[in-house]
Amino acid sequence: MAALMNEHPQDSTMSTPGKSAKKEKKKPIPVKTSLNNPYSLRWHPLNREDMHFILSLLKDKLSETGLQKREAKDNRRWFGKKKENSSSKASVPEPEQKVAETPGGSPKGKVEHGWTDVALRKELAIGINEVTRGLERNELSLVLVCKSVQPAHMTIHLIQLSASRAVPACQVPRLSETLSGPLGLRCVLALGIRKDAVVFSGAVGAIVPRVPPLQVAGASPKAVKAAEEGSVAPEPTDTTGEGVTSRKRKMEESPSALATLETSPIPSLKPLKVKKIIPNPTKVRKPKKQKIK
Amino acid sequence: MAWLCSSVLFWGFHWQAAHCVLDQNPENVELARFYCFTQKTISKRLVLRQDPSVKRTVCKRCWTLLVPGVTSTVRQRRNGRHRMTIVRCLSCGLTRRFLNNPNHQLWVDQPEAQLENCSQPGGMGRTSLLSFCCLYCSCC
Repeated sequence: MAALMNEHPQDSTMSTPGKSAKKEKKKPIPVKTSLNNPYSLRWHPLNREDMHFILSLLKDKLSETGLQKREAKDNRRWFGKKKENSSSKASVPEPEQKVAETPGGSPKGKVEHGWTDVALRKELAIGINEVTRGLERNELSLVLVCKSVQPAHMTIHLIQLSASRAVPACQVPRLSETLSGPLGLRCVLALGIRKDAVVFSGAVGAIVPRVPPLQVAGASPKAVKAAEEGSVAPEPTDTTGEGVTSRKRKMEESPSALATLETSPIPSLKPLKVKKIIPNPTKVRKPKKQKIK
Repeated sequence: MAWLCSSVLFWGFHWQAAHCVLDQNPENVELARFYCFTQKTISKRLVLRQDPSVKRTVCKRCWTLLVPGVTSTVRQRRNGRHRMTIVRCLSCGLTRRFLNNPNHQLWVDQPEAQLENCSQPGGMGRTSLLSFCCLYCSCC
């Protein structure tokens, strides 16, 4: 009997394969409940008309001003140096001939590297990092983000940042496609216009009314302003009289800050968001260590 | 079941309270940190699964609520070929890096992961009891 059992161990454990197959079919999939964020961080959709207006306005303004980044093309080749040497020797007499042919002409091939108008460039904040830094320092009056950003977590932080600083911000489709050409860049995922801009102030005034308002929980501009006012300490004074007045100023400032905090409405609690999720079947799991008996 | 539901609500309250505290007074990071620490302890004790959108906004080292521009900074950096979004906590200096891969999507965000889209019936267990509690108390 034991020998028979040993010969056919499978039969002894699985005496009824049909029933085990049925059990496997009935086995339900485990469900995981994940507690989600009740606050939704989303950009408000922009109307088509507003989108076309903003893109056309910015494109016309850039073409008017002629702001562009010029990059000298480096024909460097890290391989095939021999070919370069042979070609350079052959090309050396050619430019000399060209220069001889055009005595009054300027030497060709020299492209100025950099922006055409540096002062104009300083009025704009181009790129995600620059826009983020500008928002943190409260230097921007308008923020535009491209909708074609992938993955989305690259620019999602700009929602909370611009809401906390009360800066109008919106997501514009095809911003990168439209503006990268005139600016001479590969892509423009975020664009900001500074508060002290002179040339682009008119554009800001025209665009801001068309930008939908951002409403984000947990990022109110009042609290940030109150904190900034409180954090800006009065100048240090040497004389006692002036020191007393500085303390008085502090006392005067703090109730005003408190007043602003008190007048702000208490936010209501939002209901919980729960997601029901199936475990990932393709998840790579570490193989369990088999204990050697 | 009632205690399980109340603790989940408690978790939700602490999470939102941390946000409200920073909304009212951005300098009061300590109270927000306490709320986030309590919320994390609750989820640890009850083995609650948190969404990545919740986990990524709490610092792992000091439990500060990471609000861009207030308690954290976000930058785009390049490490060789790879471009990353780096979130840095201003309190403890801990950095979290997220690779900018356009083809990558979290399993939680994929439509295949949602139980509603799944054809086969869901299972019964502790997690489903929790979901039943939440449905019962209409908190979701």
